[in-house]
Amino acid sequence: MARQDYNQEDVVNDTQRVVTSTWSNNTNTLTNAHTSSAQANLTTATSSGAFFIEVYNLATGSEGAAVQYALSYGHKAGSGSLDFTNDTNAYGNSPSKVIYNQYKQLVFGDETKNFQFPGDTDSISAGTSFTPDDIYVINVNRSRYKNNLKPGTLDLTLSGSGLGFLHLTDDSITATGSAVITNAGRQFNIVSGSSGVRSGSSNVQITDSGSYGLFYPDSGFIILNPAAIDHQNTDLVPEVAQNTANNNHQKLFNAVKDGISFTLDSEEKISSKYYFTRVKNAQFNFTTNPSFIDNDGNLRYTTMENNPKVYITTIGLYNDTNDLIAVAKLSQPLAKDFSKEALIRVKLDY
Amino acid sequence: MGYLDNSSITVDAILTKKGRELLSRNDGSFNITSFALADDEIDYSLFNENHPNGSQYAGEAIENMPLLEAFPDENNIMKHKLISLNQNITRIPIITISNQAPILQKGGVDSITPQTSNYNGINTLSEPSGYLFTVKDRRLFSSFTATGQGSAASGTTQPIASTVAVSETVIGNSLSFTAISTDSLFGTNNQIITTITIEGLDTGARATIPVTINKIAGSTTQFETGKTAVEVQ
Repeated sequence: MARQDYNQEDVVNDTQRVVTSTWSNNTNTLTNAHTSSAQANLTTATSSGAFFIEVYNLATGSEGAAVQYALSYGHKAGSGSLDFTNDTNAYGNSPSKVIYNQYKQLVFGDETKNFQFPGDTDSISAGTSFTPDDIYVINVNRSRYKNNLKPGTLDLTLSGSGLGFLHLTDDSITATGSAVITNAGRQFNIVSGSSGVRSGSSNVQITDSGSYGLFYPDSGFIILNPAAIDHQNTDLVPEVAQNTANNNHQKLFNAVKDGISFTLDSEEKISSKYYFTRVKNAQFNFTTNPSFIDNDGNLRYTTMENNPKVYITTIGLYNDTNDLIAVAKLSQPLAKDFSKEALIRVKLDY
Repeated sequence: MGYLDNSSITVDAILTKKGRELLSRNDGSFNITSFALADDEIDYSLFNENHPNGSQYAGEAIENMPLLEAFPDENNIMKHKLISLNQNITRIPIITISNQAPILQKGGVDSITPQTSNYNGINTLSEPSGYLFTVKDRRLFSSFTATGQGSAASGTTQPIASTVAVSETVIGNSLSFTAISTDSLFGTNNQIITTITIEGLDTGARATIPVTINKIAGSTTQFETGKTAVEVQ
């Protein structure tokens, strides 16, 4: 007999969350930001660079260089970028408008809504949210994370003229995980602080301009509120001329690059099955390995007569129709004879 | 007094190509119910029963061997299975096949009836539970049928429409198979091969034979192990 059935109690299910760094080579904090001159072509309205700038961990062309995230700028009216066709009935149709509407649709699923950031405190509209005309976007490359980004691990530093370094995080720890649920999954606020803990007592980071942004860990992107951020970093004040390539996403790139610190973890839910493989003393003590016998089929060594000794290297898992479904290898051969039993726990991840 | 070792070994399994195929079918066929053990990579000539340090060290060379990682080709792993036999057995069961290397023309029919030697002291017999017949590339046959173990256990599988080689297993005491009669899988080749692995369900004894299919009628060129041949991927 070469196969042994598993009993019901031999199979156990388990699910675990595994957290890893989002960036290449499991780098915890990304301290470099590079662009590709071929991709970041900002001169025409239809080039990919007019919509987004891909950011690499290393200089492009060097070994291990890979896209980590992309930066974009969106404007409700299409300002700040070249129109696709600058003519009657097509004014304002530009990359910045496409970007704004694209993310708006992802988050709200409704073309009538716009991004709002808590909260507006002026005398006219106190208690409501602030609605800027434009947004900055940081979109993490899909291949960099598993199931989702992990809330509470975001630490992004922006730098430039003004107040110097601005340390951004999400408020998931402060909000004890409570999130607004949108079409793009959970939504947390981007606030000043670190590792998910907000500095201060309010999500209103700038009076009358709201929070610094919104974080969508399930969809892998961050929406930044230019009106709030540019209070702290005047280099990030968007230029919003009509039909002009103001390249505002380049400003965001410079701020991220000068900040030299971007930490973000990703999360994966792994379902595992454990198969407790019990090898009893009287089982599996012979082998069909040709080197175990001589040319006549006799045991190769006389000392093994009545005391055969074999070595387990491989465990095969089969279904009812005898198909080999999964296979596991030991790191070293495991001796087996009539005086030994073994318990091998085989883990199969899905 | 020391502590007893209550640990178990934990190893990570990977899905085979067949496992991934069954998982994608989502028809309940991906359901692990049994296990087998193998000693692939072990060369028992390294076992030194005359070790100068005594018999306890006879397996020294084998036990210190670093093993390779698992790979997903179900046809080339688990080749040498560990089997359960009575303790006083001195001869290991082996499979004998008279038709060692079948050669078929397009549309040709052939069969295999394996026998097992050295099983329970009987020189030659057909194993009571039958044999597993696994073809490495099912596309090469218009029929692949095992008989002798009743309709429930035996199998006749349908030809597979696939762009890649897919293995298939049937159970029985003998196997008959018919080569494809079309040219599509030959391409520019006049001859293609695959393998059929036969495994005794009672003993675990295993044998693999090549099967050659000729595009041109009348050719009798036989494939031999170690020779170059075209295996459709």
